[in-house]
Amino acid sequence: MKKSLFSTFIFLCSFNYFIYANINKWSDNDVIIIKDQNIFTITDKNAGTFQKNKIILIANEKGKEYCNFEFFEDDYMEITNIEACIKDTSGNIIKELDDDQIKETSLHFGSILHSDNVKKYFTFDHFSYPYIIELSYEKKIKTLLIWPDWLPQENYPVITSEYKLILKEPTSFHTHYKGIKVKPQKSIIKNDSIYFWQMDSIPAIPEEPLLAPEDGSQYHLLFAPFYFSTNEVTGSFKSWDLFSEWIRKLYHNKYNLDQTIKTEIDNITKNVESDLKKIQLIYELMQEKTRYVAIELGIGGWQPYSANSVYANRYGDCKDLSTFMIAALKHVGIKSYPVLVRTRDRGIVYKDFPKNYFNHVVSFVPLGNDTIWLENTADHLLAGELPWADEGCNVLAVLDTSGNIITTPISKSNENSWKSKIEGEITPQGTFIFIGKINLYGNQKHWIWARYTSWKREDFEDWFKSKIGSGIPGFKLEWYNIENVKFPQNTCVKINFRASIKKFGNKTGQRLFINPNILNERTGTLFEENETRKYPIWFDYAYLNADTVSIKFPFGYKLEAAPKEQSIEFPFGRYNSSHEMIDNVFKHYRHFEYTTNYIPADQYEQVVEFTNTAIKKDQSKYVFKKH
Amino acid sequence: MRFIIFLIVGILFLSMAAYAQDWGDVSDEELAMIGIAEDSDADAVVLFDKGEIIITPDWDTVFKRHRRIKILSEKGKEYANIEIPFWHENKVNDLEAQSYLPNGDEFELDDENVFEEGSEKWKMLKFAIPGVEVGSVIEYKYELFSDYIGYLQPWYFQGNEFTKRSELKVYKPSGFIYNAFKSNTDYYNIEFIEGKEWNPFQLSERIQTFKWIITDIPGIKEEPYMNSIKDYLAHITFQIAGFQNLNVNITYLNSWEDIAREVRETYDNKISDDSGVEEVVQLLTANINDKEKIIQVLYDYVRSQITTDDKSGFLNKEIYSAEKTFQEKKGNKVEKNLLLISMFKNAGFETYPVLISTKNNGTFNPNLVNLDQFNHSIVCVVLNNENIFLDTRDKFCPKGMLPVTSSVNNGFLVNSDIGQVVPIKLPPTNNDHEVESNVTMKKDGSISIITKIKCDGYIAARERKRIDDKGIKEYLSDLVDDVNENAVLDTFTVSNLDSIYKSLEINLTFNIPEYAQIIENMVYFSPVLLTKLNENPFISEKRYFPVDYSYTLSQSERSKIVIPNEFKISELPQKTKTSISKISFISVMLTGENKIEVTRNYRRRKTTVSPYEYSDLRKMYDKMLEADESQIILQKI
Repeated sequence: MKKSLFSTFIFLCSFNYFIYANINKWSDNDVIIIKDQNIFTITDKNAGTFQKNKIILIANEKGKEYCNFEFFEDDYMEITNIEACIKDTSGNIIKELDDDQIKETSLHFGSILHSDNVKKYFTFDHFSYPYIIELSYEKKIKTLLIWPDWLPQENYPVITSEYKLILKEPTSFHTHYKGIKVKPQKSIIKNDSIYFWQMDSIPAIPEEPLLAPEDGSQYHLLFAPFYFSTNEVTGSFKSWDLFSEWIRKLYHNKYNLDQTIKTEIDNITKNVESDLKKIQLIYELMQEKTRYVAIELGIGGWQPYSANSVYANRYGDCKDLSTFMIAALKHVGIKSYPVLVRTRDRGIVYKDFPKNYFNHVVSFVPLGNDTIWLENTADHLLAGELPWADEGCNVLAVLDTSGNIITTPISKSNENSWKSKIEGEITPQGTFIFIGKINLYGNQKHWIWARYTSWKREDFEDWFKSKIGSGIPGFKLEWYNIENVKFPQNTCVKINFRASIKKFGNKTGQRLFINPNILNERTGTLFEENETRKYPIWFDYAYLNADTVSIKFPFGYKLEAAPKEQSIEFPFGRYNSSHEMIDNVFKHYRHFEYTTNYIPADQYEQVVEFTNTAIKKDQSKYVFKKH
Repeated sequence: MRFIIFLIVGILFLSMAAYAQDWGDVSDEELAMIGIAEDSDADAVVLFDKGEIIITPDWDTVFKRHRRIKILSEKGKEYANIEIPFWHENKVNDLEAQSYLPNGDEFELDDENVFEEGSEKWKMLKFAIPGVEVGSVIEYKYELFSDYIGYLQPWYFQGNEFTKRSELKVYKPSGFIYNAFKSNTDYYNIEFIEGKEWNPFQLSERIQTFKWIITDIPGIKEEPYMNSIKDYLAHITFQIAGFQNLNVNITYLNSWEDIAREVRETYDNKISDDSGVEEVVQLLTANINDKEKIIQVLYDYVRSQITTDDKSGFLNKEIYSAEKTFQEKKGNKVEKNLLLISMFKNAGFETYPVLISTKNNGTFNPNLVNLDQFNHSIVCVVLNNENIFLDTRDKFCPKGMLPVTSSVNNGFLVNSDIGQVVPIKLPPTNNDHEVESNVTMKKDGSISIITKIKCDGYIAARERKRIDDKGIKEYLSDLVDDVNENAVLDTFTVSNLDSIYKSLEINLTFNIPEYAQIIENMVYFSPVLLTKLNENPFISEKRYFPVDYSYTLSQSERSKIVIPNEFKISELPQKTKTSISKISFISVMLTGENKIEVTRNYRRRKTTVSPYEYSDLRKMYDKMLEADESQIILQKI
């Protein structure tokens, strides 16, 4: 305790001058990180202590959200020596954190049913602003697999950040730099090798909307050891081959299946010649027989349960279900492999820098010249279909004797389509009665199916009504039906519905004002005019929406005025909207497409023009007059 | 699709009389079942949910539960992931779970796959029932042991999914006195059976049993303008009131006096008139003789100068004393109120805490003598024999109002000698929302708007909170954005932002380029309204419980539109007038030379709308939406 306080004191004394010399630069911020000090001491060949010391200026009440602190520990990491104090800007201590203010919980909510994670947390603030929080804690790290990186950029500016690596044990490792130009100062003190990095004046994480996950942080220094061990299973990040060897050890002996499931697999595949068909049938069996349940204990974050255990329980997480799938395919003589994925929303994997990036497991089957990807946690996909979070990722395929980084395919806009057709008639009383069909493919299908299968049914229905009625007064959904249809090449969610809108459109005198965009109307944009964009625009996937609306009018109505037809095309997308009136039937066609999900920053102005054009046209009304 | 299969394959509905309810005794009908007639899209159906409360010879309580559920869809598999929360001093025993495939294959839960999680006071057992596929029947049972018989969890007959049968059975050894309170059970045919059975814990003794059964109970879902869902679920609260025989007469917390005593044991040492507040009370009240003014000054101090944090704690020993709250200048919603009581005491007022159940916690039942009903404590200060109720949690809530969630009908006043249930009466508030705009249109269809907004009462409190959360500029940008996505905020001034006893006044100017749609010679636009409705919140066609708005409202908006000389008025939308009892709406447009005056008034003179009026209310909102989106037609000259 005394030692820790002393080190904190030294730490503070050495930087107070710096604090007050530089703070004005960011004086309009609610929070400023004055100092972020990271010290990782490797105490033996597979363990270390990570010391964090942080000085945070809370400038005003809005900065209070930064006063909530959370730490997670598990079998491989223990959080100790949490200390904090609040000081005024003259350095006088106002209060110190009591141990009993630190709460602990092992309750988990969300997708993981149970894990051995424990959360320690507390709120530590003060009523009078500005004030300074000094925080320190230690992480006792029991495997170098989880070597802490240096991520000096935060949501608020950082005046100075540093990372000190102390090697008490000779340790080989490699590093990956992003945005950090400084090279480490190296020294040797009492046989300890010391590396020291420091960066000053680090701006806050950029706030541009729709940033690619990897653009969320402009600076990092990643570390990965050439040796680590978990539960006496040794591994290395020296190469992807060596890291894959560690994965293979964890997965070893997990692929056995008992006779019951083998018989079941034999029964469904006995008359099937094609490997592709066999894969599809076994994939469907797995989808039908199992459900996603994640239980992660100790090494269980990385090591799967056995295929037999998955079948016995009929559940598992991504790696468990992948293991079952690999074992089932192996039984019919089809070779497949586990694939480690860092899902696209989490960032990217640097091909030339082996490290433990991964948060997901899928499997893949090399089949002749094709590769069949299997996302084993989804119950609605065909073998070969991947959801957007698995697309465009550098994934690690753990092969028999090696590990290969492969980039997963990215779906095209026409593969992620929404195609709708509405046909109906306006009654003499003004009610529009119509039937509608929506066919959804690819990621648009996943998007709606995920809601359908995970939300409460009533919530889905309410959402669906609001989506297709989009706030139209008098809208009533009479009936709907939704199903996931499997075709040989892909799957499609088909929605059929019957609905009505009382007093459709806005009537003024003999005129009826109608916006035919019942299903898809672009109403807002995240892209502001006259702003400059620094980073590319990224969204989950490219997509295409095509809507046709056909409205039969009562006798006597003519189209009096219509907004101009619109057609606009850019390298990243196209939009067109057109109409026709034949006798008393009005037809409206709309096509909105982003042909890519990654748009360079220098096309920002065009994106603004594109979206504004679509918004304006989508919101415009057609005028019909009764003669 | 499921619906079609349902029809084609044939209907295999069950009569509950056919169900066996013994552990593992799953019938062929249950295994073959593919749906229920009452809810053809159900993801799962609770076949039965059976609870038993047993008082042991050692005067502990054992709560036994046995649930059986049929899984009808992929989504329904979620019902096989079970969480059993329990108080840290209690124990869960004899947990068993299993599933059955439609072909009869059984899967038993392995003890190794039962996990315990927890925080300081609450624990949770979690497990995933193995072997579950669509069509499976799952069941689980457990016993919850507690050595405290003063409080028993209410039994909810109703849940999210359709329940075929739900029953609670209570074994009452002789001498025990009980109370049972039923809520929302009147809509259903509740069966009550009284009998005598052998005591499960003392086989030589015959004891009284009571059983309540409801069958075929639909699921219930969250709706807008709804308080706690608990208020609407059919449930029964069973309470042991005491024990009496020839030798002994024991009472279990069965009087309000007892509750008052327990509350005072916790609060009395948190509240004192010398909590270090003397100085500040003297400073704040110096030279003020008017007692009502003193009450306001002290309330305003705690409301505005002491930060409200979201720390939990209501009636536990860990909550801050008034002294600590004062020193820290922050406290949770209860701690702040205890500080205010201390300050009132110091200033010589008669003052008490009042326990309430906030709107999101469910309505307090005065017939049920039970401390666990409450979740908050507000302040009562007595002036001229009148009770004044205050709650400092919301810094934008003036004296005379309670924050929306605390504005409940009654509470439990904990005065020095005896507690009493008291009505919480508040002076009426004017919840006015007035908007006046002058709109000038240019010949390209763009408009510039000068707007004055005035808010009072709960509307002012709500808007001040929004401004505080977002900052004034973002708040106003969002406000004009709601009028039109292309609106650009120009200038603004805000008056009385911190003077919460005055009207909040906002003056702003903004522009909307290309607001009117111009097609050849025709010009169309909808009136510029800041109070317009963007959607009808009432999506469900039917509602079985009231709409609770929490406060009355008077909303009026006037918009004067000047059109350019190049245009003339062609047609205006007709007047819209619609109402239900005590709620009315009118929208009128009048013309002058090159001018249009739009008037929109919405008045709500009651706070709740009964389910019987719901359909009309929903239609009224449709008409309001229609009026707000109606088109004004101009012609180019």
